[in-house]
Amino acid sequence: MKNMRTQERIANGFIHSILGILSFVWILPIFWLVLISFRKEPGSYTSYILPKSYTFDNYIKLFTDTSLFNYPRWFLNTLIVAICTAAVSTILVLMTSYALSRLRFKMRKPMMNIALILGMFPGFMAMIAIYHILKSFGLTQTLFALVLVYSGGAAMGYYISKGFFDTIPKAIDESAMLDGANKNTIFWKITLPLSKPIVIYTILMSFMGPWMDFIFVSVIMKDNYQNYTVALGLYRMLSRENIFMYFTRFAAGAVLIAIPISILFIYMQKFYVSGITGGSTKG
Amino acid sequence: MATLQLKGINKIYDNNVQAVFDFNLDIKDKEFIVLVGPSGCGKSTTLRMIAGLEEISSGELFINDKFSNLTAPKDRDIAMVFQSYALYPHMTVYENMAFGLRLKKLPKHEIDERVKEAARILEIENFLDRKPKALSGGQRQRVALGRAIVRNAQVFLMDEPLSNLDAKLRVQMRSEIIKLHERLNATTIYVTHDQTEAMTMATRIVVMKDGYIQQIGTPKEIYNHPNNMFVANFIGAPAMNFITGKYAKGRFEVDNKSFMVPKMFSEALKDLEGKELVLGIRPEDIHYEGIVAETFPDTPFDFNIEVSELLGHEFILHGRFGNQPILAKVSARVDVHAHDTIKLAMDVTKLHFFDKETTKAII
Repeated sequence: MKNMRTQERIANGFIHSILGILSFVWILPIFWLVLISFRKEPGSYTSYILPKSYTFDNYIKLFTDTSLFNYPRWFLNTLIVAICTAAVSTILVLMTSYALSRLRFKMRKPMMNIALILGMFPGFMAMIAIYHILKSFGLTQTLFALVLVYSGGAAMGYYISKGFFDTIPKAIDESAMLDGANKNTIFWKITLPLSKPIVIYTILMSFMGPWMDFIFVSVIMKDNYQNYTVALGLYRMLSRENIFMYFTRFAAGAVLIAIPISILFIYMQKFYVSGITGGSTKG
Repeated sequence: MATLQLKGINKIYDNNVQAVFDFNLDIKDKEFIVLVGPSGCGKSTTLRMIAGLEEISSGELFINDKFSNLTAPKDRDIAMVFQSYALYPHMTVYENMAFGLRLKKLPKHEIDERVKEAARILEIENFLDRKPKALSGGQRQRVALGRAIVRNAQVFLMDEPLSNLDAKLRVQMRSEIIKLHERLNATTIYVTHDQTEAMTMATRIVVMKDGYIQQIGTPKEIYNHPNNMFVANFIGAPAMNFITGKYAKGRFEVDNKSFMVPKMFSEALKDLEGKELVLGIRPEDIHYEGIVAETFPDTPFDFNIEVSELLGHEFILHGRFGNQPILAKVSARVDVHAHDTIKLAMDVTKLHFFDKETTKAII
């Protein structure tokens, strides 16, 4: 008995020390970034970790000193693009997944496979083509172009939500059908309310894509500073001539990006209710 | 008023598997039709074709004399209860029942009336605010029934609605469905693999096997005059005994035994002199009581009990007639034990004869 308990203790100690190391590795860079965002002395490279003096100025100046770097504007741009993209691509993804899960049509399997294989190529492979297509429509350097690019291929990420829809018993659809519902009603009134976790997941994912993206913005926006998103704008702060002055402000800007996502996540987390389909079928 | 006609209905799936062959049935108003058969016999497929959930490959379906092959499920005025209940898990019991009515855009007070009425009939008034998750299997089944009732549909379809319930609840719900049918008078088509449900509930039974109708008839007809060995074996529990033997000179000979076949059968059997036949006799027609042995003095035989199963009020005895295994059902009042040898007699007026090759009933 005693032997077992000591064994358990050793195992627990071992597991916890691994967890401790892992969380240290994860948290350290974030902690470091937050520290720098409050650092008073400028400059990117210092020979010490803890700042010598602290200030809020980096945050305040982000929003007040907008002559060179219009951070609030970029922040708003990013927010608009991310929200629009999240709305459009969530609907696209869910509708595609529903169709692939519930309807049976000729090219269903081949289409699913093609989408899956296409999805394995990195998105920016098509960058040049997308740029020229947008240019021929006169859409480059606009936020609308960004929304188009981010949500256009969204439906290819149908896989996870289709898998979820597949677990909702078909009998529920059929019984709704006999109750007089058409596919549209079934989708909005039955399937979606039953799929809250996956709807939330899809929203989060499609919000985060544009929020974090750098490559497409830099190609599409070129030198249109007004329409920059945060990622691209912040990167400009790191250019050789600016980095000394703006490095701490860059850190403050980076910390602020994390806030909307964190809020979104915390708010949506409560909808992650497991076993929502419980009680529908069988006894 | 609802009548249904199914004319020459076939179901062939995309993978070329045919599930239903040439299904013909006229269903009268207010009938309680039970489709019964082992799994994979096409009974559920037939029901789903009537509901409109499966396409009819060929043949014609008439609902109230209206050609309905291509009518959308919601326009068929049909309510269906699924084996899995298929309740909407995110809605309360009330919303579950009201869903179809809301889609029909009925006025609120009417929806309320109908739902409450159905809840009263089914005694689920206290659960109206609950979600299906918080209900027991039997209560869920009631909600599923309620959802069908509120629709005031002309035709009720039930796809093995009791199979997920435990045995006791099943018996209770069985009688409630019968009562419900008497009350609502809706034409009902009920699918089950349980012959007891078929016998107890049906006005007419349709026995199916491998996609073919084997026999259509009232429970009594099916029980007393099965068309073939499959029906004879499927309906009745325990199943009918089959004994292979030879018919000769008015006697039926099995291995080293023989007995007189009553005159009532001789006309039908007269061309089969000397042929091998299958004799069918239900376990309940093999008796222990002396009075049967006196009435049919030819039939008593020694029966060595191999296994005896006590069901409370009766025994199921396993043994042999000649070398062929048979079952007998005797009252539990007699004291019998395994490995005893007792005298049993057959009620020969209850015999059935089947052709050995075609398995069809001769009489």
